[in-house]
Amino acid sequence: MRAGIESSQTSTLVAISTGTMDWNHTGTWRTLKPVFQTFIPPCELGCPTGGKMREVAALLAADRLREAWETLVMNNPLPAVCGRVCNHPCEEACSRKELDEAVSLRGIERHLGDLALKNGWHFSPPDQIWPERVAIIGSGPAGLACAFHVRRLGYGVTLFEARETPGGLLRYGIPEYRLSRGILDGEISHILSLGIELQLRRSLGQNLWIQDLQGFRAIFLATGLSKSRRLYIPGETLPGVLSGLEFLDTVNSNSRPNPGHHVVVVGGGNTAIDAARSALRLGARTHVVYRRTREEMPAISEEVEAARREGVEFTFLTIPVSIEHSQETTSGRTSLRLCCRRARFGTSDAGGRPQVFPIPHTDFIIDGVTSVIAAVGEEANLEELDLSHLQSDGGKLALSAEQESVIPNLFVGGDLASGADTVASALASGKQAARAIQRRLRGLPEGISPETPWTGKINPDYFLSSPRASAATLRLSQRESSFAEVNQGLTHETAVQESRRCLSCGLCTRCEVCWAFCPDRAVEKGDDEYWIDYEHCKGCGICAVECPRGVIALALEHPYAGREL
Amino acid sequence: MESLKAGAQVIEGNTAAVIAAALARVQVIAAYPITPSSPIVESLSDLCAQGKLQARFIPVESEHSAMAACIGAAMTGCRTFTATSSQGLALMHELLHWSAGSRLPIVLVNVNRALAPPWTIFCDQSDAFSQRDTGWMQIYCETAQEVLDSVLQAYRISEEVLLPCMVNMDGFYLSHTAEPVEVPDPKEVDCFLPGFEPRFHLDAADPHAFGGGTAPAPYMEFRHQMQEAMEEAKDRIVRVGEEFGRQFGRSYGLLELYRAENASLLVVTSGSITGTAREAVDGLRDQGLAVGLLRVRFLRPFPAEEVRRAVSSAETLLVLDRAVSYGQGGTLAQEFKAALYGQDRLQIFSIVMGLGGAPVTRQMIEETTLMALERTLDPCRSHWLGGTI
Ligand SMILES: Cc1cc2nc3c(=O)[nH]c(=O)nc-3n(C[C@H](O)[C@H](O)[C@H](O)COP(=O)(O)OP(=O)(O)OC[C@H]3O[C@@H](n4cnc5c(N)ncnc54)[C@H](O)[C@@H]3O)c2cc1C
Ligand code: SF4
Ligand code: SF4
Repeated sequence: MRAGIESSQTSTLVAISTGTMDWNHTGTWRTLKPVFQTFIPPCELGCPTGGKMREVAALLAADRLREAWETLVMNNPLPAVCGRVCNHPCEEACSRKELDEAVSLRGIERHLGDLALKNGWHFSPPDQIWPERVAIIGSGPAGLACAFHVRRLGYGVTLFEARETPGGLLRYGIPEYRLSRGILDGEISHILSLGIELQLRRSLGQNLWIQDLQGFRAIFLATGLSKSRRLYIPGETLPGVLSGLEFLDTVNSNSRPNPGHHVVVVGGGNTAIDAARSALRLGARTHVVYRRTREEMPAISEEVEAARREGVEFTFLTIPVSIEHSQETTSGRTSLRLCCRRARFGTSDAGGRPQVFPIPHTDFIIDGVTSVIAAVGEEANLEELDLSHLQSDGGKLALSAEQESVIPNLFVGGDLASGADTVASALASGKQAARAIQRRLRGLPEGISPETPWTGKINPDYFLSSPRASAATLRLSQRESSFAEVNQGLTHETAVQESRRCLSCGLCTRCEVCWAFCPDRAVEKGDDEYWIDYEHCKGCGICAVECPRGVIALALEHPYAGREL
Repeated sequence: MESLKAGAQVIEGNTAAVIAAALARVQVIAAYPITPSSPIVESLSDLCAQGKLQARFIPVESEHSAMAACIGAAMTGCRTFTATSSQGLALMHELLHWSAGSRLPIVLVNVNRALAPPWTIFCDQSDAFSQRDTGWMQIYCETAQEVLDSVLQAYRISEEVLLPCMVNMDGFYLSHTAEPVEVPDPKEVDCFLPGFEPRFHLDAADPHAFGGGTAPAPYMEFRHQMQEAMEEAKDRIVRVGEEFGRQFGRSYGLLELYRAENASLLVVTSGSITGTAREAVDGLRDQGLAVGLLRVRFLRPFPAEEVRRAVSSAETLLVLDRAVSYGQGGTLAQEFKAALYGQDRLQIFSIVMGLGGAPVTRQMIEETTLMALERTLDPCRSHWLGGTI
C-alpha cells in the first residue's frame, strides 16, 4: 500500500491502493476452516427408504418432472402408493417446520407417482443381466421393493405369493378409500414389467418349501404378519366377533360384508381406524374403544382425525372385559353386549409409553352391538411357515444386521422381521436386502456415501413464511356409502408450489449469501459451485453463520484439530 | 413542504436545516432520530418518501451506522447529509475520525444537547466540543437563519478543502424556536453551490481500496495535509462568507464582533447564548462601560490569528462556556488561552454556565462582567454559574 500517488484517480489526499492485497496471505491467521459440504437433509434421514426429497423437490420446481420421478423411484418403486398411505416421517423431520409447516413431501410424492402412471413412464431396465436368480416370498411392499431393486441390479427374480393377487396388506389391509386399486395395480405392474416372474397361490409351508428353492442363489422372505392378536376375554369366539384383518380382508374383496348397524372396534392402530371407517361406510354406527388416549394411538394422525370428522366415536382409557349375547335384537339380528372397564395411566414402561391399569368398579356396558372388531395387533406365525428353526431362544427370528437368517443367503424383511411397522419401512427393508444380496453375489464393496447427515440449522432470517398447500378431500356426505378415495391429491400447481417451499437443507443453491458476506472476498464463485480461497480466508465463520441452509461446516484447523469446537 | 418556498418565513432551526439540505440538493441522507434533532430526520425522510427531494434516505439502526452509510455514500462522490445530537454524536465518534481522515465533505447538523447521565434532553455544547479533535470543521450558529446559511456554506467550504463540517445549533433554543428566516431562491442557491465534483471517488470500473494499511511515513504526511487543509479552510471560510453576502445580503466570517470598538472587555460566546450576551453588552454600554462581544462562529479551524487581532485593544476576556472539559474547565476558555499565549496584558476569565439547559440570563452575564471588570474573579480556574450550584 502506498499513498495513492500512482493511482489513475491521482490523489495524495487519501491512501489509495495501487495494487491488490493478495500478497497478504491472511489465510495463515485462520484457526477455523469453513468447508462447503453437501449434507443429507432431515427429510432424507427421516424417510426409511432414504428418499431424496430435497433433490426431487428441486427437479419438480424446475419443471423437470420425469427426472424428479426417476430420482424418487431410485429408492422407492411405489411413490403413488406411499404418496397416499405413508406415515411420512420425512415431513416430521422437515426443517421447514421451524419456519411454518413441513413441506408436503407425501403430496409431492403422490403427484409424481400419479404423473408416471398417467404418462406411462416406465422404470429403466437393468444395465447388465447376471445369470443368478433370487427367490422372493411374499408380495407385500417389502417383497415388491426387494424384487424391484434386485431386478434393477440385473438378477432374475421369481416372486412367490400365497394369494390370488400381489400387494400384501396394501391390497387386503388398507381400504380403497385410502388407496385406489387402480393405482396399486398400476404400480405393481410397473415393477413386474421389469421382467419379474410372479407365481401366485404359492404358499410357504403348504405348497412351497425352502428346500424346493435350490436353484436360487438367495431368498428374501417377507410374508408379513398373519396372526391377529386375541383379546383374551370371555366371549371373543361368539359369532359377530371378528379380527380387524379378517374384516378388512372381506371389505377389500369385492363382496362387501354387512357388519350390522352398530360396530365396536377395539384398538388404536391403523387396522382399528381402517376397520372403523370401513364399517361406517357400510352403514354402521361405529365406536372405537381404546385403552390409552388419542395421543398414544399408533394410527396415522390424519386418518384418526378423518375418522372423527366422518362420525366415528371414540372412547378412550377403556378396556373390554367380556362379550355376551344381548337380549336386544334389531332387524332380526342377534346382538352383543360388550362389558368395558375404565382405565387410568400409571408409570411409563421401558419404551416411554404410560402403562394402563383398570379402575375397579367402573364397569359399563355397550349394548346392542352387531359386530365387535378386535384390532389389537398382528404377529408372525412361524410354525405355519415351517420356519420355527429360524427362531432364536427368545422365540424371535434370529437375524444379522444385514437381515440374514441362520440359513446362509436366506434374508428376512418387512413386518415379518420387524413386527408391525410401516409401508416405507417394508420398502426400505426390501432395498436393504437387495443391497445385501448384491454384495453377497458380486462381492462388491460397501459403497461409502460421501455425504454426512446434516447437523446444521436453517437461518430463518432468509426465508419468508408461506402456507403449506393442502389437497382437496371428498365431501363428508359423499363418504357415507362410498369407498372412493378421500384425499384427492395436490394439483400440479400446488405440488410445484410445495416443491418451491423446500429450503434445500444442507445443499448449496448458489444463493450468494456467503459470497456477499465474506469480509475477505474469500468465497469464490464458479458456474456450478462455490469454493473458498484458503490463502485469504481468515476463518471468521461469518459465511457459516449466515448460510441460510447450513451448507458450510466449520472445522478446527491444525493444530487445534480434534479439540472441541 | 410549504416552507421549501423561497421568501421570508417563520420557522424553527430544525426546519431551517431541512430546507438547507434540500436547497443543497443532497443526494444521500443517512440518519437516526434523536431528540432534539429528530424533526430534521423525520422531515427529510418524508420529503424523500414523497419524492419531493431527489435523494436516497437510508434508514439505519444507529448513529454509528448513519455515519458509516454517509461515508460509503460520500466515497462514491455523492453530496451527503446527516443530523444528530448528543449521545448520537458520541456514538459516531469513531466514524467522525474516519470520515475526516477519508477527506469526505460530509455535512452534519448537530443539535447541541447535553450528555447523559443523568438523563437530559436539554442543551449544552459538550457533545460537539468534545469532538473538536476529530478533523471536522465546526460552526456554532446563533440564529435559525444562520443555520440555513451555514449549511449551504459548509458544503462549499467542505467540498473545496475536503474536510467534513459540523453545523451546530443549540437544542430547543434554536432547534424548536420559530423565528423569521429568509429562504433563498433555489436557482440562486444552485449558482452559489453547484453540484459536487469529487476529486477522487470509488469507481467499480477502476477498483481501489481506500484508507488501507499505510506505513508510518505517509501516515504522518496524510495527517499533516489535514492540518494544512484546516489552515487553508480559514481563508475559504472568509471568502465563501463574503461571496454569500454579495449574493444573499448576509455575510459571515470565522468570528463576529459586536460593539467591540475600544472595548476593554470582550464577552466571548458561542451559539444561542450570544443573543442574551448582546443585550447584556448593550446594557453595560448604556452604563458607559467599554464592553463588547466576540462570538466564535468556527471552533475548528480555530481562528487564532483573527482572535489575536480582535482582542488587540482589550484588557479582559470573559469566556462563557456552555461546556466543560472535566479536570480543566471551560473548553472555549482553553482555546482562547492557547491562542493568546504570551499576551500578558490580557486577563482571561472562564465561566461555565448553562449546562444541561440551565438558564443563562442577561443579569447573570451583566453581573459576571462587572466582576471581571473589577477583576474579582480568579483567572486560574473556571467559575461555575447558575443551576443549583
Ligand atoms: C389395516 C392396515 C392398515 C395399514 N395402514 C398403513 C398405512 O396407512 N401406512 C403404513 O405405512 N403402514 C400401514 N400398515 C402397515 C403396513 O401395511 C405393513 O407394515 C406392510 O404392509 C408390511 O409389508 P410386508 O411386505 O412386510 O408384509 P405384508 O404387506 O403383510 O405382505 C406379506 C405378503 O406375503 C404373503 N404371504 C403371507 N404368508 C405367505 C406364505 N406362507 N407364502 C407366501 N406368501 C405369503 C401375503 O399374502 C402378503 O402378500 C397398515 C397395516 C394394516 C394391517
Ligand atoms: S416414503 Fe414416506 S417417508 Fe419416504 S419420502 Fe415418501 S412420504 Fe416421506
Ligand atoms: S426443507 Fe426441504 S430439504 Fe429441508 S427437510 Fe424439508 S423437504 Fe427436506
